[in-house]
Amino acid sequence: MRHLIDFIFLAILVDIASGCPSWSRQAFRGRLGLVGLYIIASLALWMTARWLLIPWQFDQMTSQTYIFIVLGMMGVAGLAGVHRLCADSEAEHSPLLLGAGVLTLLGIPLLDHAGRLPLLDYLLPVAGTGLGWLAISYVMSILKEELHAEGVPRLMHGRCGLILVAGIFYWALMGFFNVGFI
Amino acid sequence: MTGRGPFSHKQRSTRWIMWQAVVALLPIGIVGIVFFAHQALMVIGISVGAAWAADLLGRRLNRQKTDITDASPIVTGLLLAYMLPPDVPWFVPFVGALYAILIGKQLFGGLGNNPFNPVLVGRVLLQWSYPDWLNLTRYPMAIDAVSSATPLHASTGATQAGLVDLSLGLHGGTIGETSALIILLCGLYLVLRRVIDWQAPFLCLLAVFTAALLLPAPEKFAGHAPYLVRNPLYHVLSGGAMLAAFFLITDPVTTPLTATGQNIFAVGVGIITVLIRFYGIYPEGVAYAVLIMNGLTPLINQVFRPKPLGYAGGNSPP
Repeated sequence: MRHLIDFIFLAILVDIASGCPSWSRQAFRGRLGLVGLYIIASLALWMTARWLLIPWQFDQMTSQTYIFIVLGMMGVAGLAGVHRLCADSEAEHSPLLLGAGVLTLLGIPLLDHAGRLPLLDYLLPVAGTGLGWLAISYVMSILKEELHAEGVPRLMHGRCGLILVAGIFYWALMGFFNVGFI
Repeated sequence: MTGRGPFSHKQRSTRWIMWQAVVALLPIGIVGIVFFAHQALMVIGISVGAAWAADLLGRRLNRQKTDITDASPIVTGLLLAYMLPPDVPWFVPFVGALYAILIGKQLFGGLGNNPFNPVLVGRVLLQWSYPDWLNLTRYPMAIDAVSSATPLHASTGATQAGLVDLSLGLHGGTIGETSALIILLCGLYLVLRRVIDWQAPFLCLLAVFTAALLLPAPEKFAGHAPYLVRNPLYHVLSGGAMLAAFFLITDPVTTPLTATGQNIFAVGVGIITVLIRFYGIYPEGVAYAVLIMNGLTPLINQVFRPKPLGYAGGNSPP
C-alpha cells in the first residue's frame, strides 16, 4: 500500500491535464461519482480475483485485468449517462477519459492485494485512496485560483503552475507519509 | 495588501519588517558561528549571497524593479543556512538558495505571490537532491565535549542532552536550530517590536508539547532514545520547532489572513511535526509540516474569510 500517495498524485496530474476544473457543486458530484465508480471497480476486481482467478490458480493479477474492468465500468457508466455528472464547462477533455485515467491509476497499486486480503482490509485503503484523491484534488482547485492572482506570471496561470504546485505539495506529503516513487 | 478594506496604515513597510527579521536572525547566526566556526560562516555567506543574487536575477527575468536594499532574500538565505548542517559542501547552500528564490519565489512572481514558503521549498528540494549531505548525523562542533548527533536522530546513535544543554545549544544539530534560548529571545524581539503576534508561535509550541505528551510512543524510540518518550519539553526545545514557530509560520505571505486561520495553521504545524517525528522515518518534520499547511492555507482562508469593517454577521461575507 505504500505507493498509494504516488498514484494519487499521478491521478492529480491527469486532473491537471484535463484542466483541473474549479469545484462547482456539479463538479463535486462528478468527482464523488468517480470515487464511487473507483470503489465499485475495486470491488469487482476483488471479486474477480477471489472467486475466479485464485481458484483457477492464477497467481498474479495483471494490471490489464484491472484496466479492462475499469474501462468496462466506464463503458457502463457512459451508457447510463453517469459521465454527465463529471461534466464541467472548464474541462477540456472528455470527463469519461479523465475518469478512466484516474480510476486506472488509483487502482493499480492495490492489484497485488485483490482477492488475497479480506474484503474489509482491502476496501479500507481503497476508500482512503479515493477520498485522498478527492481531498487533494479539491485543495489543488483552490490553489489554482491563487495562481491567478495579480503579479503571478502568465506562465504559471495554467498547467505549468499547477504541476509545480502539485510537485511541491507532493514532496511535502511524501515527507509525511515517507514513501517515495522516485 | 491581502485583507479587505478599509485599511489603516501602520507606518510599517515590508522593507522595515524584513530588516527587523534580519536583525532578529543575526544573533542566531552568530551563535551558530561560535559553535561551528568557519564552516557555519561559509554556509551562511554562500546561502545569503546566492539568495540575494538569485533574487536580482529573478526580478530581472520577471521585469520587476531592481531593489538591492530589499532584505527578503537575506532573510531567506539566513533561514535556509540555519536549517543546514555546517559541514555541507559549498554547493549545497548555493543550490538550495537558487531553489528557494527561483523556484519557490520568483517563478510565482516574487514576494507576495508564492504559495509555499521559499525557504522550505529550498530545504525540501535539497533533501531530495542531496539526502546524504542533509542526513548527516554527526556535526562537527567547536566544543569537543558536546560533539554528537542531534538528539532527535533516535536510531543513529544520538545521545541524550539535558534540557539546559538544549536551551543553550550544547548539542548536535543544524547551524541555527541548536540553541532554543537564543531563538526564543530573538523571537521575543520580533513580538516586542510587533513584527509578529505571539499567539501563533505560542500555539505551535503548545501543540508540539501536547501532541508529544499525548501521542503513543513509537517503537523506534524504545531501544535508541527512550528520553524522547513522554518528554514533551524535549520535543519543543530540540530540532527546528522553535525556529519554525517564530520565523517560518509567521511569514505573512504563506499563512492565513485571519487570526483564527493563523492559529489553526500553527496548531496544524505543531501536530504534523510531532506525527512525523514519532511515526515517520525522518527525525525532524517541521519543514514538511509547514509546507503541508502552506498548501492548505487557501482552504483555511476560504473557511475563515476576513470580515469587512462594519460587517454585522448573517450570511458569509462576500
